[in-house]
Amino acid sequence: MKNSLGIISILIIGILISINLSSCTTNKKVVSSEPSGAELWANNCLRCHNMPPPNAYSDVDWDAITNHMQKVAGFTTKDINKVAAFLKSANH
Amino acid sequence: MKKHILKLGIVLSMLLFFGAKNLFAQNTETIQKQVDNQKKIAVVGYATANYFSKGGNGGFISSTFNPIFVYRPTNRLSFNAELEIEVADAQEWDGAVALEFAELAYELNNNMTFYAGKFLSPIGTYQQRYHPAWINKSINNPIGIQNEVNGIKRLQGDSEIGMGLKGGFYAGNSRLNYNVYITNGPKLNDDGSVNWDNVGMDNNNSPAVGGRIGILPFANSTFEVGISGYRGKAGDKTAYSNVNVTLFALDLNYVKHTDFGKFDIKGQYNNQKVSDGVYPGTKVAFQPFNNTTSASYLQLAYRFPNSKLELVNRIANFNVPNQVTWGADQTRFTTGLDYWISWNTVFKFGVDFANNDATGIGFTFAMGL
Repeated sequence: MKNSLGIISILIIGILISINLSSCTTNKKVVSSEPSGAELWANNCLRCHNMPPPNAYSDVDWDAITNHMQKVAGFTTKDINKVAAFLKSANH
Repeated sequence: MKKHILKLGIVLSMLLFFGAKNLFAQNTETIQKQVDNQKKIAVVGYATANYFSKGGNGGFISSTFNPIFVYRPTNRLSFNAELEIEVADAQEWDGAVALEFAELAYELNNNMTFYAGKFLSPIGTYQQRYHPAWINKSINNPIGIQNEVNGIKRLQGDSEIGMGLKGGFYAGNSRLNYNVYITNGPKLNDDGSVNWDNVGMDNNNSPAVGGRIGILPFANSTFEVGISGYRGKAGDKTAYSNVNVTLFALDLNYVKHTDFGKFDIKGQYNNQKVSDGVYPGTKVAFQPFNNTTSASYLQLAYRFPNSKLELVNRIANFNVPNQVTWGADQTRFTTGLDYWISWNTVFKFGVDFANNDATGIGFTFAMGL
């Protein structure tokens, strides 16, 4: 039970920090450019698994795989299209 | 006369030039649209070979091949399915085949996709994202969330059958993702535990509703926390017609690359509440009890800088009511060392300690496809 409470505490602290940071970023008028396909690829794939090199798959494979990953990770269509475009451009 | 012919020539040349340019642009656009809408299919997945030894007994316990078909017939339509072909304990030598998921999807807009079929449980993140052996850094799965040892039940399904909506959107610099779904819902066992497999006719004509929302507060998306919920009617007999299952989960994920190596923290907490009641298959057959069970894990992985070696430590906890027969409280600590042969191929070695179970040693060779 103690272990369980410890794990829950860490998870709750993480969530509170996250909500706090989230509200900070939305209240500030942050001028930022939209992330590029390369940035989205580098920052998001790594959260679950090692980053695949662009030449790991063909262009057709990347179209199908990125579409699948959009469903798994909750990307917007615009973002996942940018990732696919980056992977295909880096593939040539 | 010559001047007129010259002017006419210039005008005709310009018309031809711009006409051809427009024609070329239109053709390029049409070709691009056709290319974008071409059928796209790929076969990915993973394969494993597993050795495990516990209490002096050991062996090559399983070998698996999980092909995942990812098919995108048009920009908006997709179909993704995974088969699990496995040779494991108590199964035929030639292996058993299971359909892990088969999900049809239609993209409604930039932020929302409708899906239906059999899909991996969206509660928490472990089952949806981390359970494939080449992604999971440890030799086993967290107890109670994916792993079943010594009769311990999982507190969520591997998969669900139903339909839902999912997608993502931005809120300032933060990103959010969501998933809401309805399924047939769970079934109730006589011992007060939950059977998450419920395909075909709904046992109580009352669908269950579930969902998860994930928040990525940093613009670089390295940190994510999620909250999940699920509620459904489980009972189908007259005496249990009002028995509900309520599931609540928290999850956390943080990955940080530094000059000193890569740090990777993952965790999940599941809390399952089944309506208090009298269940004949328990130790107290005629007394109601608080039927609440929880499972959690916290994992820390560290990859040495410019190295193929990664250390993995996980603590997992399972708390069950004293009155039930399907498992006892358990804490497992699993420590391991991974050797990454390539970005998607790993050789894992680990030792698994438990407070009421023998120590185990395991090797897994896993490859993403």
